[in-house]
Amino acid sequence: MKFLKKFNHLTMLKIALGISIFSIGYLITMFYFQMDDLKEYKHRIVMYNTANVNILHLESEIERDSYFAQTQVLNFNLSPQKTNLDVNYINTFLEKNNLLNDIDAEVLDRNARIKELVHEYNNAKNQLFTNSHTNRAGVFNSSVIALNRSISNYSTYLESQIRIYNDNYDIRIDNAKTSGFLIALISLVIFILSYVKMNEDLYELRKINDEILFMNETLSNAEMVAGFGSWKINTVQNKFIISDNFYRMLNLEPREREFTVEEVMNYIHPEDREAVVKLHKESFLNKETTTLWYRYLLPDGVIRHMVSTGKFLNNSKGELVKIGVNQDISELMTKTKELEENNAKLVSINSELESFNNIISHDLQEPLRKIQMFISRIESKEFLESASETTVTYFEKIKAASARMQNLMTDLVEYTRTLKAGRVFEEVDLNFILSEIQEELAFTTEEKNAKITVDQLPIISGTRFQIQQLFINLISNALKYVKIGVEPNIAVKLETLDSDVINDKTITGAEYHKITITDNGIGFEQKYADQLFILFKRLPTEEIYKGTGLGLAICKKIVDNHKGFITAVGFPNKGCVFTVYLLKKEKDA
Amino acid sequence: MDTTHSQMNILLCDDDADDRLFFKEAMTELKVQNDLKVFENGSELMDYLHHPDTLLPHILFLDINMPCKSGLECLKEIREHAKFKNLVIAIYSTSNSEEDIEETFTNGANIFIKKPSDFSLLKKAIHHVLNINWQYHTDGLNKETFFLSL
Repeated sequence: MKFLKKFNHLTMLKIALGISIFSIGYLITMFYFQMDDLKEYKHRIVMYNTANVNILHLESEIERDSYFAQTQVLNFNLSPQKTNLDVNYINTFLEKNNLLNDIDAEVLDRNARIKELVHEYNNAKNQLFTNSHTNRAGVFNSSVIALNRSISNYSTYLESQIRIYNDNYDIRIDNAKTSGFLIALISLVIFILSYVKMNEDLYELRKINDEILFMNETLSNAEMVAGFGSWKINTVQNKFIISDNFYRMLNLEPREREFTVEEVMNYIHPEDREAVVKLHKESFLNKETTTLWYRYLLPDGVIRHMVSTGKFLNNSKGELVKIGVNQDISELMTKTKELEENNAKLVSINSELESFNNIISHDLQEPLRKIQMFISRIESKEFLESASETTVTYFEKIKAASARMQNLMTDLVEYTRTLKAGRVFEEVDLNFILSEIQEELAFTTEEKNAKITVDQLPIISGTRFQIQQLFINLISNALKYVKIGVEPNIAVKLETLDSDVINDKTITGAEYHKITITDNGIGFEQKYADQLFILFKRLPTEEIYKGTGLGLAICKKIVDNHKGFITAVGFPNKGCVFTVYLLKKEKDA
Repeated sequence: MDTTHSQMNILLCDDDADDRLFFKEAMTELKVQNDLKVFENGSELMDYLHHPDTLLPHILFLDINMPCKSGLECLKEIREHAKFKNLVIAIYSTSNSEEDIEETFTNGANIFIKKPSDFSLLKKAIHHVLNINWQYHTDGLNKETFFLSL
């Protein structure tokens, strides 16, 4: 078998089997003809033997007759009528031998010759009795001798034929023996080959079986992990066959019981059942694939959400089978519900934030505005001229505090406005923005005798008012945080950017514009750089520089909204550099 | 002040007593001899406007946030009537939210004044509104000129 395995043993087996079966067919045909021959030869031997016996019998008859005739002649008892050899009798003998005619023409000749000789013998014998003795006796004797010789020849011939056929018969018997042996041998070979082939097939089958078992086990595990179960409806037997995990989905032990279609349908939530049964029945009309969503209501009250997909197939018996998969999506449904709830919460939080924003921007500003109006009334009505110095001081403090509060609220509104997402980006020309800002800040600029230089800047994609806010805040800061007596010198530059690393992220000139705002103000210590952009975080500065702590937080937020970056480098008492990285428009990139 | 406007009928509708006071004082200080009628809410205003004996006013200062009938509702109602088509409506509000500006603009208000926090600015605003050539202003009205910056 090892030898066979080296080749494509299955093909080899098939070829060997084919040859064997062909040989055995050939041998059996041979054997059949050999047996037929044997039968024929046996028949011939019997025929020749019978003929021989007949001839010998005839010989003895003639011998007896001639002897009797001679005795009569010797005794001069001449009554030929009585002693004549009966021709009819002889013919009867010979006719028996004529049966051989079909197979041997020689016999016919010899029979005719014998007949002739018998006729001559009878004539000779009759003459012997009718004419003179001496002459006739010679003729008679010679006819007896001729007849005897002919019979003897005949017999010899028949015996030789018998011998020939005997020999042939022996050869044929040997051949038949060989054929029989070969048939038995080849049958044995066929049997062995079939056995080997069967074994091979069984081995293959076992291997396939193993694989199917393995796959079934895998599928079963997969069903458990993924939370689905498969099913099969045999429409002829009305059986609903379900996988192990399907049983688990129904809170049953695997293969605990058998189901009919109706029994499984009973598990469906009463509210869904009618629709599912209807769709199931309809699906049989057009044999189309179905996908259904429904719930199972288990006996203990648990509800399971299902997605069920079914399609039609024919099994090997030609019976219509509907197979399908049910997926338990209860968990998904729960999670989706949770998500929806969380989403709703977020929406309500957002709207609360919105109303909070409204409170700041409107309801809180309203009383503050009144306070400031009354302050301006008091100022304009010259009440203060008659007031004490303390009153005037207190009044100034009220005025400063309310002004500060207004700044704070304006900034807060700005900040919350930057939180609102979903604004549509448009093309924003930074040159235009900067010239607008310079116009807006013209009063302060002139007052402080400040110098602002601006490079040619790019057009970017962004929200106009936010970008404006960003640069207003940065330039206002630069104007604001300067030592008294120092003339502010502010430069807005478009720098060339190869690649910078910010927060471990590499920023390249292919993607970003790098714009710097440099001033000669009070600066800050670099260790505070990270705190600059945090909401309400203020650096320790002198009283006169009091800000709201929101300006740079707003800048950071705006830059974040535009997927950009902002960094700051400070030099105490010398100034600082703010760097803004803004995304290039796509066609520029 | 400008005597050509001395006979203008001016209406103010504001639910806030302090603001009504500031407005009156500002008018007094501006020494305009106009006839100022003051209403505390939208319903009162509309009742007055629809009254058959009412003389058609020239300018209406209208607050937005008011109880019962808001300024926006009044604005829409007034603009529905052809007889008020020449009435100048100046929105006079604490809010300067884009939504409010947009909505009052599209509903036919003529100018938007954010209530100032300084009395002198209030005077400046009133003076400005009273001295506008409305025919000219309305023809060239757009969202930029609609909002009065002080």
